[in-house]
Amino acid sequence: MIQVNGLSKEFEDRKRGMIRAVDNITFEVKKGEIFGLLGTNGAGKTTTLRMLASIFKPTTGTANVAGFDVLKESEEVRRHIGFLSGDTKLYQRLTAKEVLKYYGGLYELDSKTVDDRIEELSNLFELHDFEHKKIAKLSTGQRQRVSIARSIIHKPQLMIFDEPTAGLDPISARHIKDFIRRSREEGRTILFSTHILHEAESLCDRIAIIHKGTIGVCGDLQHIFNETSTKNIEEAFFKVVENLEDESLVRPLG
Amino acid sequence: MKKFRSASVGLIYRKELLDIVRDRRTLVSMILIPLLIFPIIFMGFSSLAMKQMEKLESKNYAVGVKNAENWIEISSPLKDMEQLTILEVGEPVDTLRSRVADGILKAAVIFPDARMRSGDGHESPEIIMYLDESSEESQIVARKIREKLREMKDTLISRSLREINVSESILTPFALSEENVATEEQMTGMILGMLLPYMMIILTLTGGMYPAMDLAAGEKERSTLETLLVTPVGRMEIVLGKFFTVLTTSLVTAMMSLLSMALVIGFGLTSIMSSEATGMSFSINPLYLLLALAMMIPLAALFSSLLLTVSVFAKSTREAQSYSSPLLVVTILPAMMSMLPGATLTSKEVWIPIVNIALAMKDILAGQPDFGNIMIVLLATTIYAFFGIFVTMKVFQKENVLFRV
Repeated sequence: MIQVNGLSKEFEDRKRGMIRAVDNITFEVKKGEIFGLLGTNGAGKTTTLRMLASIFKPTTGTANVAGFDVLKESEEVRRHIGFLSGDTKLYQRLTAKEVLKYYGGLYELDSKTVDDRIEELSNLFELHDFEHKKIAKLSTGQRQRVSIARSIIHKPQLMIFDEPTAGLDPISARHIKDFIRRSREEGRTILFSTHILHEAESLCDRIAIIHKGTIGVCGDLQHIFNETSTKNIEEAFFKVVENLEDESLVRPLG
Repeated sequence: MKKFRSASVGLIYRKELLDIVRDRRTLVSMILIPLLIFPIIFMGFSSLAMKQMEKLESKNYAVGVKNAENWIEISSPLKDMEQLTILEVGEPVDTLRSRVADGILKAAVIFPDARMRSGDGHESPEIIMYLDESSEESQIVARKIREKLREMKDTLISRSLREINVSESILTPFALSEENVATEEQMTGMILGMLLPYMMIILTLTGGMYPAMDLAAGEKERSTLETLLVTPVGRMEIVLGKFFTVLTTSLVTAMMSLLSMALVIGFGLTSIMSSEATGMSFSINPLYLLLALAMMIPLAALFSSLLLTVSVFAKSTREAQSYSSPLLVVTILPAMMSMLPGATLTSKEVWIPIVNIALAMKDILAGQPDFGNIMIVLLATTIYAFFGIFVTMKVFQKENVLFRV
């Protein structure tokens, strides 16, 4: 579903000069699996996911997402993925229904399809009680449900989540995790990033540990334990991070 | 090359307009302020100015007079003048002078010492008046005294002429009478031409200012921009949808100000600047008014693109605000060109942004449009607007600008 090949991203930073936020990463997400990108803040998770969602242009390397090239067919990439992050908030002055209708239109669904889909999603996420309320008036949990509905209004087969549970209370976070599991049951592929170790452990079929823009290890839990000769995710994580830290000291800069 | 979808632009445009209209702040800056600005300026200010004038005209002012006893026939009529309290003083001239400077006396009139008469072969005696031109009150008093003395001069001349049996008509070998051939339309146009272009240019800018901030910097601030960017819609379509929204609010603001102006002229202004008071009434060729309004469209487009660019660049609406203010300052000066007396549109100014619009509108409203030049102005401004939109799109493509936080 996703093939990432030697993907890098450099940013110009006024203070620090050129920064390599993502450095030559390669991995694959298979159809129907939940794949986790695990790393600390600033590890390059968001940059990676934005490149895969074709919001950022990679500096070098390629990626194929849902059968489309992120550089050459960026529009088709976006049409075929559902993207949800802490930075994909909803317009406060629109009602829940207006928001869903708007995004349905942006995905170029005809209005009959949008109406049917809104009905379907409203039943699924119990939006009916507040569908005519403005987003500003909704509770965090209600907003979360509208947000999820927004991200799958166009029935994407691939979902990309960027730290979907960050800053959420346990109940809202639970909603998201349930939604991720249900997505897999319904045959969707999920790529998500997190810095919460047990979240990755409990949800993911496979995990890539990313640090300083580089992937240290990638595979299912057993593979990760074997590679790092550890017995739990926490130990594994810190071992990978330490290795990458040492490497970055040795590696010439620039 | 990616295909361009006008349906998406329309969808974004309708949504942004709905979003903007639901915001009370936009409604205030788009409708309320432009509607109220002319009534406030005209009625509020002019009635205030008139009240102030009345107050000045009804006050009593102290005027110092020296050596009046030598010139009874001239000085005594001064004492009979309303509003003036004449104080005969014996102090030195310098003291009187400083009294006027200090504002204790509003003016001082110094008659010559010796009694001298003109026409006796001597030089004309000199009467000195001290006044303070920096004080409005002193100016009023001086004007009154000046008029009175001129009147006295005429009386004295008439008397002298009578004494030697010469007809007074010798003083007026011919009479001059003037007649204003300008039509009411031209007079209206001249006054409107000075003020309206300036006001409309400024309001066109300020009308788009708030929505532009809200639609770009506001989206960043509220983290809704990424939600939009992950949809298949292209950046160009997003920019155009937003651009047309800003353009609409900007033009609505300009229209509202025009409507407000029309209302003021229709009802309010006539009571203050009635035909009796100024010798004119207000009327204007509606076709020219329409042409003047048409000039605003490319200008509003240029402003909208500039405001959007600035707003896209800003991290927050607060930052967008501080970036937009210099834009206002930069606009005010060229917009004021319409208020310069004698300034008209020539081939030199047709390519200078804002200045060309201000002068073209002035000429149109004055009823003297040079259609050749006006076409060039429209063309020039349209080119600038297109360039502006191009820049907005370029900026909107830049990841480091869009995701600057």
